[in-house]
Amino acid sequence: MRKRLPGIATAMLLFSGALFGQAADVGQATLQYDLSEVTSTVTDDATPGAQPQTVPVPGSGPATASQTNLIEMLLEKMGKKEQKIVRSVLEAGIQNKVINLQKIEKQLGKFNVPALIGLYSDLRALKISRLDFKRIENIKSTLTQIDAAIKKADIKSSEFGNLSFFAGMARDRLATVAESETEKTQLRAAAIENYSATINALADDKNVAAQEKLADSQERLETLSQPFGQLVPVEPAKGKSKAVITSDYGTRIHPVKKTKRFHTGVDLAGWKCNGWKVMAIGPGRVVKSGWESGYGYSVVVSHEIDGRMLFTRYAHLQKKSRLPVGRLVKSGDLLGYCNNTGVSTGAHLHFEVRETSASGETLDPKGFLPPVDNL
Amino acid sequence: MALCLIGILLGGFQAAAQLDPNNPPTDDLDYEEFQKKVAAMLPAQPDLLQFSTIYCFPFAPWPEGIGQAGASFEEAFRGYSLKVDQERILLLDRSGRTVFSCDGRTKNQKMVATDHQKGNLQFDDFAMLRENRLAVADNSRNELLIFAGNRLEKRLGFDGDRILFRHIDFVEPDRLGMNLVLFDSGRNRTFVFGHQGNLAWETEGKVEPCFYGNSLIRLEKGDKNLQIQRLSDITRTPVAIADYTCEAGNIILDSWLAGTFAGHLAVVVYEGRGDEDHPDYARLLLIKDGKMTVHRFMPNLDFRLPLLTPYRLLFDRSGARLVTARLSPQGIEIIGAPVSLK
Repeated sequence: MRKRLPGIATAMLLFSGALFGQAADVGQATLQYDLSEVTSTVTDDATPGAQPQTVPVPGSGPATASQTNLIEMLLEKMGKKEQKIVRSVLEAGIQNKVINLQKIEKQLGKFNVPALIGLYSDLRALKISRLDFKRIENIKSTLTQIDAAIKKADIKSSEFGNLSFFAGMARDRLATVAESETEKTQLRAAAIENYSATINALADDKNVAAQEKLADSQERLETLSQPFGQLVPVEPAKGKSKAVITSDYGTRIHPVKKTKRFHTGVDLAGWKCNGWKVMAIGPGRVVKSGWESGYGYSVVVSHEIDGRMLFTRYAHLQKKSRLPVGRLVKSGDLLGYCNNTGVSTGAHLHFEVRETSASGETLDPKGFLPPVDNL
Repeated sequence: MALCLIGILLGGFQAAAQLDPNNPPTDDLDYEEFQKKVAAMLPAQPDLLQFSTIYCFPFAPWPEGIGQAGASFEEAFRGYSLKVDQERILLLDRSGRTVFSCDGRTKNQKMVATDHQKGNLQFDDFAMLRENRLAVADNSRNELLIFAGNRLEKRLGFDGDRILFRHIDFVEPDRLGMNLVLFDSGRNRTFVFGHQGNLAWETEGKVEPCFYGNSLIRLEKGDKNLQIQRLSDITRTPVAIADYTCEAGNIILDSWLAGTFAGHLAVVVYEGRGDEDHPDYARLLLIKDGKMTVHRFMPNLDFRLPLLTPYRLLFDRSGARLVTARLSPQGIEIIGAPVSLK
């Protein structure tokens, strides 16, 4: 039976929310929902919880007459983009609870659009720092405890491995909010040491939790020691032409029908590109590999970059030689070969980048690639 | 002279090594036209399952409708999760952090759960459980959050030693809302929890988002063969319950378990011809007591609408229907085809 260090488990529990909570604080979360229909066969003895707090955000909730008038009056004078910024300012400000609506309203009266953009940036930074402040303090204090525990002479190998893993995660997380590049580099170097120590200590431990920590440590080691992006994901065969973008990311209007269409990624192709190598643009883990409707055979790789979850999709690949789900990849590793499977008019690679999940919000892939010519 | 010849050859090669800008290789196509082309490629089939519109979740400002992002396929478009619960169709609008329901019979739309205004949660998937509980998978914090009433009751993800999840793919309740199955693609691991959040059991690998009694179902894909396996909560070893071999000349492309009812299993299979994967008709396999009935229908190849389980089996007073969703200019259209379960 494994011996636990007193207090560490409790501290870990406190620490977990801080470490994994990237979004807003869930501690206060309440939902507005109605499950009466679902539970019609069950005695409805649930006491109704507190109603969710509603805040008067323009366009999405009630506001007082004076607030609405002033805000709407200001919004009318602005372009669509500026309106979007103002609404974001209001929403962020209210969510932060550091600036109340009256104060924002007051500021709106004074500010011009460039100042609003500045305020918006400040609020975003403020939102992050406010959310992170408690967590960072929490992580730092737990990390001190872990470091002290690791140094004890009588510590068991498995316990050492476990604690090193959490120390690595803590440093990894702190690096994402480091104030300077030097601090970030130092924290990452220390995290790499912690993860390496975990791998050495837990290599022979057959316990599921230990195996999971081992796998996570290996993945983080790959991620921390390798670059992400700045690599064209398709490699021309020797002596053949270079890859070009044949269809760009973004919204386009159909030339005849005048309908709007959104292309979620970039299409990369070259002369006779059927069979060209397709490579991962950064370290990560294959989370999908198979046939996906119009994408044909595709591979999706998840990457954790600077506290952000990114997913890269490589589509229209050949059926054979694709990497299987669960495989760890390094930057430049072969994922499959370019082909014409799925909804496609010829051999090419559809490359897309999404945030939060494999079907999450799309990002312009060109931001992660070196310059590539358009056709 | 020789240099001249090399120059001509190089020039010739360069010209040949160009792509035609008027006809570039791309997937940036009109999907409706593509779908028509696919239909034209396929041989006529008299007994195809016929889909008709059941309901349309409209694009409209919250809370009247689902997020506008899908209407123009903007960057913020995060897709949906389609589920059925008794007679209701449930749709999670991930961008709007809201779950809507629609009664298949009365066409009455309701907002079931939302965190739209507060924005505390990332709704990646959800499961309705008994005793007024709602489970929300939130990958921004790698946790499964259980709400009772509308208060946060439990956070699952870390037990003081083990980080349970890396990336939650789906959560799905059983018919009574007593248990839920969760698949984590980051760990390639399946977990079964009770409705109060207690971990009942777990196993390696992926299963389908559906309960078959107390068991789970796994689909093992081969090149031309699909094996439907049952994974019991007691033995936890997969046992084959049916085998499907695709039509000669075809290969298996994709498959999903659409649902179960009264001992029936409904499995949707996409298959295509040869390595070029020219799509063939999709198959609906209805399996009971080792017997299999096969129906055909037109596959939906549109990849703009990300749905983890694109097909579901809905039961209401008009019988069983295979339902799916498609994008329309007005919203997310739920279409269904009647299925005979004899």
